[in-house]
Amino acid sequence: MANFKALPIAAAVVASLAAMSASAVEFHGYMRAGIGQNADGGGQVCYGNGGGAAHYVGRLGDECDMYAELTLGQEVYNRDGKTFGVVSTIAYGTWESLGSVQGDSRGNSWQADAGGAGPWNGGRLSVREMYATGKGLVGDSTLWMGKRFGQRKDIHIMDLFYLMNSGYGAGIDSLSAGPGKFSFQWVQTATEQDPALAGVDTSGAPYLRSNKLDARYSLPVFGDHNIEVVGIYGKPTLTDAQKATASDEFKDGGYLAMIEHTMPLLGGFNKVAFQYATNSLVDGLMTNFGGLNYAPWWVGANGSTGYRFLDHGVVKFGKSVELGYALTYSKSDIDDADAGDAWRDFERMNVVVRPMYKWNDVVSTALELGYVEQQGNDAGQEKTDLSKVTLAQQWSPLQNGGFWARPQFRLFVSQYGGDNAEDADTMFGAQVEAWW
Amino acid sequence: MRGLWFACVAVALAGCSSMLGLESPGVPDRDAALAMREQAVPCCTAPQQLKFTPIDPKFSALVAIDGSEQLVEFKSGRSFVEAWRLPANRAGYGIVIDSMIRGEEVFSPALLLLDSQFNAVQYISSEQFVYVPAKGMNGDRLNYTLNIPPELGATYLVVLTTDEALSGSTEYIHPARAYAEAQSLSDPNVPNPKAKHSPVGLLDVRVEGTFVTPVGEQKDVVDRWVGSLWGEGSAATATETATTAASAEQAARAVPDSSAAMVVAPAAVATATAVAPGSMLAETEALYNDMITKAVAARDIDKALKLVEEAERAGSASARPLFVEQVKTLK
Repeated sequence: MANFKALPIAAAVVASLAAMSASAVEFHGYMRAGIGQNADGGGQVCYGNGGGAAHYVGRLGDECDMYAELTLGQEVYNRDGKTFGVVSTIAYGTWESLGSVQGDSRGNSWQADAGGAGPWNGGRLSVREMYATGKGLVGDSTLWMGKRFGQRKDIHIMDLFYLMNSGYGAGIDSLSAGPGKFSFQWVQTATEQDPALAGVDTSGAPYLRSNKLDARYSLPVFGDHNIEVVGIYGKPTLTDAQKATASDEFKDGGYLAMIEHTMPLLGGFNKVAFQYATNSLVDGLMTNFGGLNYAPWWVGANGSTGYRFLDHGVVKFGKSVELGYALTYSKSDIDDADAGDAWRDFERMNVVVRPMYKWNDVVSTALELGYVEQQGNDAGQEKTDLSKVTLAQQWSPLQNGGFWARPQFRLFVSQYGGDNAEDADTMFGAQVEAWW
Repeated sequence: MRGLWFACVAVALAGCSSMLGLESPGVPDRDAALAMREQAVPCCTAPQQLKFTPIDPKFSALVAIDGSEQLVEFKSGRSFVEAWRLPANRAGYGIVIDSMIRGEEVFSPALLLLDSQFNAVQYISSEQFVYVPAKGMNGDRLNYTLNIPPELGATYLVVLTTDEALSGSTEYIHPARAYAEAQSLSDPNVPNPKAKHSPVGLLDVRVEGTFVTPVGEQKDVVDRWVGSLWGEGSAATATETATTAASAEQAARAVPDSSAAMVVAPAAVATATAVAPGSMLAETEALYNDMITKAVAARDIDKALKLVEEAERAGSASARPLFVEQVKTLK
């Protein structure tokens, strides 16, 4: 019997094609790399880094390193509304110093800075994240355990992570509770004992350890706006041997409280945040990585306090102009029991603006202006400042991303000024930054 | 000296703005495009009058709809169209159509497939396009994967948009949110923007040699669409079913785009004048019915369908019920 084929059955054909598998590997990442030169001769000099020094005059044309993060994640189970996934992130970077002036550690294909760690000198490799997630287990939240960057908050143009309670931990993200979402996590800090500290017995337990408990609540207000409150409480947890020999100030807990308001503005957004911290959590307000370290044996013991105000955003003007901007003010009051704390004991104000003009779908020009001034709290400290003007010609697929479009190829020239701009004041180079 | 040097480099950089840039399509913004749409003169009142550009089996290109295209006054609204003659392909193949979201605007496409006689064989309404978020270096877009089996007999593809689509918008993921997801940051708590649907836009079109797995969740295309977006005349309210004999009784699928039945283009002159059903001469009606019966018996369903459509255009009211009856009893 002949098969009866009436009309074209597109369905039969299409139905035989499975929809795209939900368990494809998700590949995300970030990279920056390039080359630079001091106009007066010598390698590029930068005044900020991707780490503790952030970029208080803005990061455009102020990056002397190569840095990359490669993140692989996969959903491994999906049934009955429950999904499980695994995420890992490896990071690699060339050497960066802790000081306020960075040398350029990039060179030929194998070599970086001679003094740095391997591989092949000057390269650093690290497992930054290794965690698993479970959704649909506790309400609509995501349960996670492992090593994770977590719910970081950043100001991109300054490479400043004003909240970064990252590390090994366990927690629950974005559980609907009332009109908003609640998140909670337990994370730890562990540091090797500072040899300069006298007296703490670390035999058998070379790490001094703190627990941090982090609770957040985010809720929409006034329609499109959003308010988020964050509280982090840090408390050392010492072994009996450590407790017996540590001074009392190393046993105190401290906290960081933060409130942030987000609002849509001019086709983009504006965020205003205020942070207040006590004891060792002051550390992250004065450098980079707010909420990361609770280590009163390093810095900020004895009732130290500090606060920071931030306002930042990305907005658009018409079809061709976008603007990223940031303003921060921080002040600490660190008990100077340890002279090594002095470099966190100061007051700082900085502002960065990065307008960009889009010529067409691919080409844009950006100008970044940055200014920072700070003054140490100790008597006799002078106010010092640093300024930067960077002009960059950029190529990136701007069709949709605009300010956020990557990869972005740049030719830049930077000029620094102010008290802290040593003799190295004009740099130029080429850089690419990408994230995906 | 330093300052002068700095200024020279700055000027040199700025001056290179367009020379070193890639040529990018100049697509007007939505307001300008709506004005162009009103002012443009419609080119055609029937599909036969469209100028179709042939595309080859390896076609892959960015196609800008910028207001210089042919304008057709469909029943669903005025639209600039892309009109392509599809590659002659014995095997089935797929066409992936991405409409890129740019500057908070996007062209919301609908697709019309025509056979060699310019009869509509398939219509994909704009609601069937799926929003696909930016991934890697590919931007946010509206996507549809059109898999064309050879039995469909599709020869021409017309890409258009409708008034109903133009009144809508597509919510897409804010680029700051995509950045946060990629970089393990907390959600930025900003509302997602909405891209307004525009009469112009940028398409990324790719023809593949075989069927293509859809990127997004697409509704399965089940039925052969019979209807018309052009003026009055051959608009059918009943459609054929694309099923085996066992389910030939299934109700026909309605005209999918409700707006297609709404507005009748005022200036359109129908090529086929509307003829009231039942007004056909008895002899010619019988003639058609006979030919339909013979075609079904010979299992030439394509021909039978064409006969039914012709007969209906001429005013037959019995051709279609007869065809359905014939198909039911076919073994």
